[in-house]
Amino acid sequence: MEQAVTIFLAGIFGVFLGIALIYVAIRITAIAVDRFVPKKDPA
Amino acid sequence: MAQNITAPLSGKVISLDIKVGKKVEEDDEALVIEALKMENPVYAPCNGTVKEIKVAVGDLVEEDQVLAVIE
Amino acid sequence: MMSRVFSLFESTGFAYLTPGMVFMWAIGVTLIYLAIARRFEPLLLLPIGFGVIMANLPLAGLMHPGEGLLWRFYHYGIQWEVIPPLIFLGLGALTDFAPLLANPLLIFLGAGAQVGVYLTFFAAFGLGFSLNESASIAIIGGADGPTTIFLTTKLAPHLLGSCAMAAYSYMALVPIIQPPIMRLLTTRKERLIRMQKSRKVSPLEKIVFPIVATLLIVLLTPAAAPLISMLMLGNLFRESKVVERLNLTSQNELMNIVTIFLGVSIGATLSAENFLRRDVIFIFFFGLFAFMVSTATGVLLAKLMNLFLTTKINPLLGAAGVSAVPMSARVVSNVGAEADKKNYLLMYAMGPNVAGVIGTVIAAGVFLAFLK
Repeated sequence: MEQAVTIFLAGIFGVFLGIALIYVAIRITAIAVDRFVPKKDPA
Repeated sequence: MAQNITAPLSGKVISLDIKVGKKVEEDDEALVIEALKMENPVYAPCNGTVKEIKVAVGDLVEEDQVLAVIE
Repeated sequence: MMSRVFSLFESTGFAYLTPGMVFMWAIGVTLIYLAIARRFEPLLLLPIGFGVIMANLPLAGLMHPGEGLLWRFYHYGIQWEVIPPLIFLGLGALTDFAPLLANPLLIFLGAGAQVGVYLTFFAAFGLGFSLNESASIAIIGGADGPTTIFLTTKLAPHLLGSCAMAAYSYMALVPIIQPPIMRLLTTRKERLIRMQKSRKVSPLEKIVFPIVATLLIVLLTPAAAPLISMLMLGNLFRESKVVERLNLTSQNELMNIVTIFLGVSIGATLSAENFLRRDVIFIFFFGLFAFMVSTATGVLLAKLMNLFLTTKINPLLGAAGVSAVPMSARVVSNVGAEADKKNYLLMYAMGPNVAGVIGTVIAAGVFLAFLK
């Protein structure tokens, strides 16, 4: 039973942590690309 | 006053239900865009007459692309 | 003379036919019927259905360990963990992560739906399934076939056929299972919420994403590496735009080839003695329960997020966290259009939908970390 509770909590925590990491990575990439990659002028 | 029908999502135009010069009413189905194998009807934004149609059946359209003009 | 005839009869399969086998034929034929007449996931249920029949032929020994044809498919394809990762390669090549990158906040909904997986895990354990069995049953709620197969093969191989069959059948039923729950948990006003326009995603971001996501997820849950790395490799094929041949092969030819082996192998694990057990009824019950709870937790998480967000999101999108791609995104779009026909939620729903795939893989990785 104890193990089931541990897995339950670790699972929910792990999934949200994983998704949160991806969220942060996406935001950082988006900002970096926006700032450092020169945009082509739509001439 | 002219109003545009714009694409609410990117996809492929699979049917056109409007003709240039014909009257349309607001919320009439104007055309259908297929995305992810799902048909998404696009409706006229206002009452008026179709002035111009900028796409044909089979065209790939981008989100926000102007599809037709209503006057 | 009579004894000759009798010994001839004894060399045929008829002498060894059991009622259980005939019952399994009926199951196989039912699956084939659902695939052909109802178009229920035909690419999978048709080979699975035929596999069930093939595995229940007396004396044919197609599942005989070490020599049977289907046993070889199963052993080298699934037990060796070759096929599910190859399916993921193809899925990666088919997946456009742009909606996810455009609305990163929505990816949390993909995590929300996994709460249902863990609630089901708890419920199944409470009803007397072992930890390993409970995990395999719960992952059905992630609505991800290859992940279900991957996890069940490692944790509870005796449930493989039943869990896979439940997962694929319910996936086909997503348009029936989800809408009532979505309507029940949202108000009409919430369903009318229109989403803010998405930002444009640059091609560079699409190339960076599969690489960074692989690193992060595998560092967090190493056990998920085979699935997630192949998914992202497939996606890199797609987004790099320089290996179009590999991209197309992954999503078409290779995917089709491995689907054949996957289908018949899964069907082949459904022998009468494996399937005709009381447990199977519970597996189907909990599988449905998992789908329903995952839908609910996804929607509820969206409503929770709305308490803190200034720009509200449409809570229907939470249901797309159930990773049946793209079925649940289509369901969201349809239920949204019921309330407001000019509300186009499809592309927004694709974000949580593909995030759900990633979430389910992480959930499987956590199960493996504890139970393997």
